[in-house]
Amino acid sequence: MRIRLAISGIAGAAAMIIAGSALAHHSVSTNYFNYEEAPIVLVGSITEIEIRNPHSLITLNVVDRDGVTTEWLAEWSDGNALRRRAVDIDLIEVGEEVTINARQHRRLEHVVYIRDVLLSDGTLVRDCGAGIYRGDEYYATCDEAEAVQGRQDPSFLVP
Amino acid sequence: MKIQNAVWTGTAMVVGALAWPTASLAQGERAELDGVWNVTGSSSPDIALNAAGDAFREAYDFLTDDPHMQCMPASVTRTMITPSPLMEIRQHDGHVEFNHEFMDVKRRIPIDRQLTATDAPIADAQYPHLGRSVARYEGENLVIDSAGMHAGVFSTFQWVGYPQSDLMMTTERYIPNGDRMEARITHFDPVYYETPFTIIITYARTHHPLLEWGCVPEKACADPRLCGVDAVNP
Repeated sequence: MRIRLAISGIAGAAAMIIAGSALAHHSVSTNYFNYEEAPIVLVGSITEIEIRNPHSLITLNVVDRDGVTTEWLAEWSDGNALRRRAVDIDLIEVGEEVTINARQHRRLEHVVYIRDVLLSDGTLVRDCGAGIYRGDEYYATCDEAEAVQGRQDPSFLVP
Repeated sequence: MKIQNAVWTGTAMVVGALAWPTASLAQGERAELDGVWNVTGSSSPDIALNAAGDAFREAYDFLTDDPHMQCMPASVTRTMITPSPLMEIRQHDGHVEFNHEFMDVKRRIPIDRQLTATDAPIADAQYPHLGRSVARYEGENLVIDSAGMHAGVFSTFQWVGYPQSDLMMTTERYIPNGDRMEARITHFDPVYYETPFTIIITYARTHHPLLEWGCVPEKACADPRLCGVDAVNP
């Protein structure tokens, strides 16, 4: 399996806390648990993709162990940010079987916020959040930022 | 209430005068404020809600009461502290424009020392609830006074469910520093807060262009589950 981008972990969180603690408790964190609190892995088939503002939305069907299919809604960053941060959103297609790492909604069932999307060919599509713009420099992509700043936890600073 | 407001206004002016020796804050030149900016951080003060403010916040439901679900920016401050969307400042003779990517807020503010905020024009005709604004320079700082905001929720981010009354007034101070900038927004609202409070937001210049936000109400809450219609009880 080819992993184009490694999953960002908690490493680097300490550095982000300095820059981003004041930005905690934003609207995403209001609606969703932090990733560390309530991670969830969904494996399903994408039925709809809407890259838009204020939040993007991927809809997918997930089949559980009993063969029951449930529709899940997976929110993501705003479309402008995804494009500006050069997230490979165009690689995600309707009908594709994907694995989504996400954080669960605080009150709604079958609603999550995306951390990353693993495509069937092993490509990992992820958004490292607004954190890549923190500090003295302005980075165009997660890779550029992390080459300088190290890995960051994307769950900290999504808008 | 009139007496209370007078005390508040007087207090705000004294606090403002003492807290901001403007010459010492200006590290750059006002021309440097022109450009596109990205939020790099913000600091949160201790915001003291009074009993009415506490009651408002307690009643706030983030699933049903967030104005962004109707593509409406809650407030200028809420617009400015949103982490990813960019903000553009353009200074002109006689007026200054603020173009926010977030919700496509576009404020046009006259520069006029004789005008008061309550008599100033609506800053963004698309969003009249954001109030009336007038600008001036203090040294190299750009200062904007605003009034006439509509009552509602002041923030859905950081200070979730904090309210604002239609008596809320704000003073924004933009402090240039080369490719960095600091904005200090002081809020005066005697209806919901014990004292005025100031939120400081820091920015870095970016050369990315502003993109259209294009929020569509029907899409902002495309599924009932995302705006709480089927919400389970908290």
